[in-house]
Amino acid sequence: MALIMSVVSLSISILYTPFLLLVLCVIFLASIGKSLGVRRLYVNILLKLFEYGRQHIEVAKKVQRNDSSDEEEEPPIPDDKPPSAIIKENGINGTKMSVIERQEILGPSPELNYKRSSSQERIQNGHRTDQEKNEVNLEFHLSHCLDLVKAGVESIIEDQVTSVFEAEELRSWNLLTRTNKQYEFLTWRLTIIWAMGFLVRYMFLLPLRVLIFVIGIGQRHGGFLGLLQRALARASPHIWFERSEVKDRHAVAKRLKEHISVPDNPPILIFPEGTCINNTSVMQFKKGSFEVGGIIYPVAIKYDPRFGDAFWNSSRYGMLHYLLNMMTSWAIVCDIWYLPPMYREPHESAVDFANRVKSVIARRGGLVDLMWDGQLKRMKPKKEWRELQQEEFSKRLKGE
Amino acid sequence: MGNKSSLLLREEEIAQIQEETGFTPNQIERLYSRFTSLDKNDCGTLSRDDFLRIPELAINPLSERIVHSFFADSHDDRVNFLQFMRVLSHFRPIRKNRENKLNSREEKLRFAFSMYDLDNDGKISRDELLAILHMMVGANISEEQLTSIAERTILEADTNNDQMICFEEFCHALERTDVEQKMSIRFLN
Repeated sequence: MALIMSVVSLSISILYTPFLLLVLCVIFLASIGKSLGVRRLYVNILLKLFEYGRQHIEVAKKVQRNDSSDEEEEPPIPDDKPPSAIIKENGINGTKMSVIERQEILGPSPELNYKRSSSQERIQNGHRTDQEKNEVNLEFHLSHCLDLVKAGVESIIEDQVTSVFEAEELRSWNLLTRTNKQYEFLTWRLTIIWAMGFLVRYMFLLPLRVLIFVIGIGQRHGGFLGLLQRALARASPHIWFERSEVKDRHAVAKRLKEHISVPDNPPILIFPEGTCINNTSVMQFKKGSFEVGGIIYPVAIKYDPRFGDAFWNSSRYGMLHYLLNMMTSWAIVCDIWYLPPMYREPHESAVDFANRVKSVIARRGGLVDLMWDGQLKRMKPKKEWRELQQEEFSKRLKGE
Repeated sequence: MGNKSSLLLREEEIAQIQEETGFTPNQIERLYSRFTSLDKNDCGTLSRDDFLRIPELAINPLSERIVHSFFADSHDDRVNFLQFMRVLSHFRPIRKNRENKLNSREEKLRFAFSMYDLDNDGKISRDELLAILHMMVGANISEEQLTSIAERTILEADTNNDQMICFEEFCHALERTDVEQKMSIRFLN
């Protein structure tokens, strides 16, 4: 015990001075707008490490599996993609890994339904609008339900919404256990690399970040999240509201209007989805902030998930656990685009305006533009959506 | 961390599923990943609610029938991964030179038949057909029109005049339908 203490104190005293010098150096360079390039170097090293790990895993898996006889040759995958969900392969990350090619996707309203055309024949309706006189002739065939059944089973295999509330799956492992879904013990080399990474993250990066955190915020009290809220509230003014209170929304809208009517007030930062999403997609924007009438400056934010996932899955773990994850990640790398201001057109509804802003942000950030409501994390789909689909089906039967 | 199901798929299980269903190991792993993400409580099986939590499925007019088909073999109202895969394998495309066990044309037709056959007695009655029609169109078409549709459909398909559609009559009625295409999902490797 005494030996350990003396070793620790010795190493601290040896490393103390150069460390302090380094910190001062970085601060000085930052203040004059230059950088040592330490961060870039760090990022490059990590990327090389991940690439090595990935190749290593592939080789190891092939050796383990040892059977290439069941490789089924699939027909070449066609290039057209569903229009309602522009699935962009992020150039650097390339994370969207689909299991199937969707033929039909039902959306919250039938205009948003996607159906792959050409190969799929629409339901045959023998008698069209030529026959205006008597009753509408409804041609039903036992095969008519098959489209719906197939769409349903497809959605069980892969849907647009459930994956959005879970952490993004990475194409190659980034040496954090938390993103490790499939790999059991593969090779010694990989495990050693992981163990070293673990040491670096928990013994070096974590204490460093905790230190910075403590110095930055101040004392500790109970109620961790409350503490953060208080600290943030001291830093800049907030408008708090209760999500479920309807009257509250009017009060909030009023406060928003008051705030923006004064030209000198700082701009309001709004996150219109209303819930945490895993940063692969943009979900429906709540129309409240778009009704207020002011200039909207869209900001697109995209985290690079290879270094650390910034997504807080509030149903799985709490804030403290999340903070621990953040502090032991390799890094949080984030791209931010400030987009030109947007104005609401005179005859445009708030919903249309919100959708317009959403698509601009989605396009810039390389995110999927979803029409679904982010509240689906907590609530069930509305009954009206199903009734709309039933209406759509009956229209098909009637031949409209 | 305990966030994901710590039950990884063992090699023997993958081999067994591959043998029964014909999926490749890669596909099985991807589908297992999907299975665990639907399994919110990490218990290794799915309940009906787990399925209906998928919004696109919940708004599908035939959601109950589709979910029910997964529970056909289940005793405790839960679905394990093997049962899950068996049902999905019905939708594998038919391959000309390979053996098709659960995804042959007949199996696909049998699955489609089970969508209509509510009480699972091997026959589709007029009331069962009416119930399915109700599910699909809601309140948008009148009761009389639906009844006449149901009666007409049975009349056309019923060859042995028992006022019900049995499986053979069903297959006959769907002779000219491209079942292979309508009931196949394109899996990527």
